[in-house]
Amino acid sequence: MKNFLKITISLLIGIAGLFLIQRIFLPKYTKDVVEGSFIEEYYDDKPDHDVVFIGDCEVYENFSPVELWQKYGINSYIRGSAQQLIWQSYYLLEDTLKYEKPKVVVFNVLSMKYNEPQNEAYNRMSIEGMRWSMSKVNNINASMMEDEHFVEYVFPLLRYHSRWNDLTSDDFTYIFDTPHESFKGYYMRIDEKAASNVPEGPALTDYNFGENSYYYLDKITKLCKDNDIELILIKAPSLYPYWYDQWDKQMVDYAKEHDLTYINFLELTDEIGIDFEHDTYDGGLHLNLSGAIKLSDYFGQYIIDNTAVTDRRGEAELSAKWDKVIAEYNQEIENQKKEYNITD
Amino acid sequence: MLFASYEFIGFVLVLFALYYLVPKRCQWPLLLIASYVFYFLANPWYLVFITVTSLTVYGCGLWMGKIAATQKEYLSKNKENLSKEDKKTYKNQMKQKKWRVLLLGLLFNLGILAVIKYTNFTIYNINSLLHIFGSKARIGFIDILMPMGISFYTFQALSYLIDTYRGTVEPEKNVFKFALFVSFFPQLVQGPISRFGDLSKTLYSKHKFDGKNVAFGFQRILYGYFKKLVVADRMLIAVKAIIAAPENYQGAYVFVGMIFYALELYADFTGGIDITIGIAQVLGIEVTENFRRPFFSKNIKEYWNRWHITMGTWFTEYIFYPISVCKPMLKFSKFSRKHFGDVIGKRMPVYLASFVVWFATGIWHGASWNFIVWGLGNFVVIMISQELEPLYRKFHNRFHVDGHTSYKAFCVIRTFLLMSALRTFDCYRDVPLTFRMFGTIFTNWNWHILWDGSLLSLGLSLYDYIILAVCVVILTSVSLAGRTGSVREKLLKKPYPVRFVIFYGLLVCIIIFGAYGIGFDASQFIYNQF
Amino acid sequence: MKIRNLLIAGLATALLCGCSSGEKSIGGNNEEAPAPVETATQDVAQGDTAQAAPTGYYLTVNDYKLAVDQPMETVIASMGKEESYFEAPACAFDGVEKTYTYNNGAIEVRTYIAADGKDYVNFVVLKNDLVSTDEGLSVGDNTEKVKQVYGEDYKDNNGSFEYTKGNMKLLIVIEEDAVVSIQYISTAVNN
Repeated sequence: MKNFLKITISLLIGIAGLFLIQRIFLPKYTKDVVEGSFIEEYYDDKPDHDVVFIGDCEVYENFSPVELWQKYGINSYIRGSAQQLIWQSYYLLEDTLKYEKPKVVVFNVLSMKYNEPQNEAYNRMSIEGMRWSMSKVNNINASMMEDEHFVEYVFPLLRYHSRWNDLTSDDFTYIFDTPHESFKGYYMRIDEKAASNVPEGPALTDYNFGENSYYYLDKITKLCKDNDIELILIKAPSLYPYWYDQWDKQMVDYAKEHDLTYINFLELTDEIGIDFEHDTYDGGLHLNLSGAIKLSDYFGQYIIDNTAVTDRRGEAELSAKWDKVIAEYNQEIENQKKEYNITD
Repeated sequence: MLFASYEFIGFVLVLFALYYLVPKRCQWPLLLIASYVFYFLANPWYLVFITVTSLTVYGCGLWMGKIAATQKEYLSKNKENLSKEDKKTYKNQMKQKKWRVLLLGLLFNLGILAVIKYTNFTIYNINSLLHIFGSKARIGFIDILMPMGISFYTFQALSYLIDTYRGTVEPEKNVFKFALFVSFFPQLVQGPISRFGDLSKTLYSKHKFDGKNVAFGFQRILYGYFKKLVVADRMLIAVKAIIAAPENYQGAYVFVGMIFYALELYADFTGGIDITIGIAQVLGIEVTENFRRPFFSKNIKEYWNRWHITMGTWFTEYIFYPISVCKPMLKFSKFSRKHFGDVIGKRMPVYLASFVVWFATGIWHGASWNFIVWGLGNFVVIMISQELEPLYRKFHNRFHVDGHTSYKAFCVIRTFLLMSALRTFDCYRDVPLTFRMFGTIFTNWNWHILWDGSLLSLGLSLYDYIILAVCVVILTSVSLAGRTGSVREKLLKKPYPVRFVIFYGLLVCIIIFGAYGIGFDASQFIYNQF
Repeated sequence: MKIRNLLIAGLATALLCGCSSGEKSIGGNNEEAPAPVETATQDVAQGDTAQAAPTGYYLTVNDYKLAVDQPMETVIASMGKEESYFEAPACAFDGVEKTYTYNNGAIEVRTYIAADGKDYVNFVVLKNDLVSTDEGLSVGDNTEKVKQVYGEDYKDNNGSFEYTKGNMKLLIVIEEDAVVSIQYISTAVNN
């Protein structure tokens, strides 16, 4: 009995200790690569969104849910992450549907160009924030690069152990909880860097999207159909990476074949009023706040006009929640104005 | 499945659980299954090789056993009828018969080993000769599958064969038990090379769960992983950087590489053996020790009695002694004493036998000239120190340094440096290059690299060097503590919380400071390739 | 501005392929940023203008042998100011893929960042017939000419020609029997 107690207590202390160490070693994504914290933040939001965006940086840097709310009363959330691959989008959608059933899902099709896993660090940022479920398990299995091990996702300490000489005070401050970095999934930037000399992509030997990409696009389509969700495919108005005409045609054809809406915003920049002199912060890859507001204004109108999504500004509880986000959002604008020395 | 892989750790943990859950009579069959699964997972074809070796050696063993039994029966039946002479003739006849069976087993299995390991080396040498004689003809290399640990299990099986011939062990009747002896997975990859008489004592017995034994086993496994992951794999990064760019890293770098390689090899190899012996201990099985603090040796001969002991014993038992006492050698001994006088004549046969042993040791490590040169390097150093022995003794007597701590330390360091220097042959794996690089230690005077930050270009950060320094202190302290008995027994006397902190700390150290995962090269245990 | 201490050392350089590179034509995965070619870095270090001979095909522009894996510094020093320049930062992490254009838009040079943090030539693209390859092939030539110039030892990549030589491959993209693009691709970063 005494022995049993000894062993039990040792095990408990041992496991608790390892858990604590693991929490310390996990990257906190607070200061620099804030994008890494987006996926996890979703779970803190009340899951009754009407519109959910899935996709890569072209969704979380180009659309502003706050603007959609303020202007149209659209309650939306962006489940975006850096270089989110199409199967990651699919499994994130599967995961989202465990909590809520939005009326509209918006998917940015740039990731169709990646047929295989690309980069371990991006995978981690897209996957690690997910809560454990079969969707996460399948997501990991679909995303792992060579030399990666599933067990390193279950016990991320095995992956991040070598951070011991990179630990900062943040790693201890935010052991259990990290502050929110996004505004309903939106990553805000207000600085400007005009787009110029954006090169065309080099000629490719094969413009057809890969089988794997189509397989998951089919799955996204089916998942939405099965759940009575309207799926809207978009290509965000980012000038780079280059979006080939041949790629666009495939998406047009796919949308037609599956009775979906596909909007290539690259063709609508004039109509939307995007000015690549001022509306981008990195030379045409991503829009800044001013660009995101224009794009959101345009797209919000489309959603209100063409889908079942309605204005919910009348809901007191929801409005109150948004007001809090809006306050933080405005504060961030002020902060960035100071950071980038911008005066109105 | 490498020792340092998640799969292996999972495999072993599941096996441990099953081992103590199944009925005790099923324990050794379970080990056999596990060993074959382990080997199968490495490559299904490996099983063919190990099965053939197991079956042929088993068969030869039985055959020799039968001859011995017939002999015994015949002699006891005809005790009265036979004269002493007759008995002797009969015994000789039977010995001849056994000898033929032994030879068959030896040649067949060494043949497999030779073909697999040395065909391409032979082709390489023939091609070199053709080149020397100006011929343009070349023989193409052959793609041969080399079963993991073939040198180890073949030697282990052959030791059984020879022991059976000598009558020191009874032939094993159960073919499955014998197959387990050959394939026992913890030692399959890198030894130790166990002898049947030793391993069989505990391999097949029924084992009750013994808390202390299991805890000790786990402790040893932990220590093994610590050596392997924290020390060896970290040092390997610097060693690889140095040997990959001989043009950039010369002089003091070569010296640093030499020391690091010695330490890395030590941590890697002894760490692996710790894991092997630890696993066996958890299973209640005793495996022969393979190291006894080798870096504390005061001369090379002593070093070889303490480093890779089972291999050294194998070569001594099965090559050195038989050669020393075989008939041609005795003849040679007589001949040389007659022609060269007593002083040299007496030494000639010993030298010849030693030469053969060291040549074999070299080529056993790998089919290339660097290993042969390395083996013969050891031979030369041992012979020289033996010849200088009288001189040393004079020196000792004159200056009364014997027993002096500082002199002992000098001897230890000297031996360590000498062994490390010889090891550079298997570092660069290119004999002329090794000589050239070694020469730069003396010609390229750049010792400032030791303190001017140049060492940070080898892929290790300052923190890594600090970790390594601390680890070397830990390894040395543990070794020193081990001189007066088992360290784990000593720790057992400490209060439980102290022990808990030590071993939990060790585990956390391995997890955090281990040089594994993305960013670190997964390096195999160095001895896998032999 | 962005982190270096977040992930283990060296990983950051491997993150370039973010959303800003990795087109199919160059093989996709830029997982591993390799150490730069030894001779090339030494050139820079010694300020030596003498070039190490490239192991694969290269393009001679104003007596300069432009080849993959060369330090971009050297290229700029030898080829003069580019006509246009574009940089694409990687999502979230450090790292910028740079594109330089020369000779009236005929030559495009794209870079990668190696482990030493410097830019190296990832690939060189000939986009129109203003410039021919050293061997005499131009955009617009037909497939017969390709085989005539570079031989039969090629890999058929969806109707395009792929010639491997040294540390690079030469990709000649064909559309309707005509060369539309000639690409010198580093095999060190693009498998």
